[in-house]
Amino acid sequence: MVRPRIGVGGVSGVDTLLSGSFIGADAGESKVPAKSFVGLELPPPITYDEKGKRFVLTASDLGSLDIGSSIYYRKIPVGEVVSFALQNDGKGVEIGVFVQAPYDSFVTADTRFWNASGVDMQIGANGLKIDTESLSSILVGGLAFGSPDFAPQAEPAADQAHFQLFADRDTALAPPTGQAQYLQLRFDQAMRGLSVGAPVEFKGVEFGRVTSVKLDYDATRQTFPVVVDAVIYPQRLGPVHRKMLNVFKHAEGDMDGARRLIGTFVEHGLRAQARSGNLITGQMFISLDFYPDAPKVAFDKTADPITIPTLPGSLEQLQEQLQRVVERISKLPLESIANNLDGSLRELRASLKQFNGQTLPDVKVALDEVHQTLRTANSAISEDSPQRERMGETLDELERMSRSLRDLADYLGRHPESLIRGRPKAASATDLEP
Amino acid sequence: MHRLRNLCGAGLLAVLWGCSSTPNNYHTLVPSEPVRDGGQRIQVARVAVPPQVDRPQLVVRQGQSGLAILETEWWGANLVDEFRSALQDQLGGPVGGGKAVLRVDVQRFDTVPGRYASLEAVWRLTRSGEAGLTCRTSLQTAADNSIASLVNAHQANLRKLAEAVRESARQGSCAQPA
Repeated sequence: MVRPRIGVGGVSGVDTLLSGSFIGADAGESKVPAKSFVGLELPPPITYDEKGKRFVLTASDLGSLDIGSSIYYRKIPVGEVVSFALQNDGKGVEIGVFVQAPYDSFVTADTRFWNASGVDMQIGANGLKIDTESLSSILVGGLAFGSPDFAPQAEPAADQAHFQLFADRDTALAPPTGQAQYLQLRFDQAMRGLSVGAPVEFKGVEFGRVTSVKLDYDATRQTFPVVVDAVIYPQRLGPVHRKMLNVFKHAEGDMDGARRLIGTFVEHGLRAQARSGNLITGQMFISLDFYPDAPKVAFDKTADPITIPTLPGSLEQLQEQLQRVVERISKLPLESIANNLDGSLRELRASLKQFNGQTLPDVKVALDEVHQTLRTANSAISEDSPQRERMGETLDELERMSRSLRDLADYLGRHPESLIRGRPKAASATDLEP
Repeated sequence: MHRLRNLCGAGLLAVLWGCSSTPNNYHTLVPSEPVRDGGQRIQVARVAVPPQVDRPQLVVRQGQSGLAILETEWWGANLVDEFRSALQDQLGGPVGGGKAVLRVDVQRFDTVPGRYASLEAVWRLTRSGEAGLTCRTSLQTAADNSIASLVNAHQANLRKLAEAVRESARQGSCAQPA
């Protein structure tokens, strides 16, 4: 039925305002002659011999798309939405699109489609940034496609190929997330600043996010641990993931293998830590890293989701240490120490004054005297001093005297009678000859 | 009464006669003729003699083990001083300016009447700034039976000792007396 229409793509069928409605027909490709046809209320968006390719997009909902919504490639309209339908199981929508030649060759196996409807507004350090495809796409919605820069595959996609429709450009062009892996982390300290959606990083590479933060009660230890659930996409780590799979020889999606792998990592010191990403807002994120010095923790291989042991955050550790230092300082009896010190200093000062005023002059006098005495003694005992000579003579004299006394005593011992009778007549040497 | 007084006087005289002593004879080791010496001066610092002979009297040997002290034959000074002064006399007169110092340890000073007088000494000569020189000298001189001959023999021994010391000091090593 050809009638006047005002649509997104423009105004059509104006001539029927005058001539009245009529039925249009388009050629098909069937070789079998037919006599009965089904009439369409709306004209088919694509006429039969139009060059191009059809693709099927899968999305969770239709959004603001409609038949006729444009498809942009590098901001150039290259096609439109031709059909949409619920999936058979009702869990999504399949959208048929048509891309005109020659642009259809830009749709390759790596191409991503995303919803270009609405306005994308970002306020950042560079100021306000508004990103939109075209004015009409703001009103009625539109699609865009492109290839990630890293996509190496340039093979044009086949007709009727299936693609996934992403919500926005960034998610569309992001590396494939791969299979999700769920983790559970239990922290003993308060998790203020950790919100749902906070990133999970491994060695600084973001590869997951926090899905929930809950408070738990530990009956045995009587504490309130914070349980943080997180989802990670190991594939986002890039080449590491592939290489790890090769090294540990387990296929992607093998949950037991992944569990064993994480168990090995935990043995080698893999720990989760809540870190402060922004000191001003207190925004936190979860960091996974290896801490070989961390205390050993038994890894629960049966827990589901996988539980990774945690470490207190660096800021918390610092805070604790500071707290301890401050407590210790406040315990010091500073006042009495200061008083004692003051008293001691005063006494020292008094002692020093006394020492300087009285002891030192005395010592000086004593030293002078010692000096004088030593000089005198030196001159007295020098090699050829008269004192020394006299001393030697005196000693000789004394020696002689003691010898005389000894001789006398000897003589008297030999001849006690000589005191009365005088010296006895001695034999001459001549008489003594044997 | 008069007789008794005479008797007492005679008795007292007899007692006093008994108290009178025989006179001493003195001997010296220093020879009577002066020594002509132009050599270096050596100071004799210390002399030690065996205690048996270290007396004012002359001591002579009797037989194998006997000693006799001749009570009336004395040295001029005691033996140590006599020895030192005699040696000093031989070695260049009085002290003063002598750089070399001699210490003598007499080990034997035997007087055997009718046979000999012997002297055996170990002596040490030190000069300032040099290592000391320690030597031993044995001397023996024949003598006859008189005291004078024995003392002369000792004088000869001493002279030979002094010569040995002088010779050793000159050549810097122990020299035996001729």
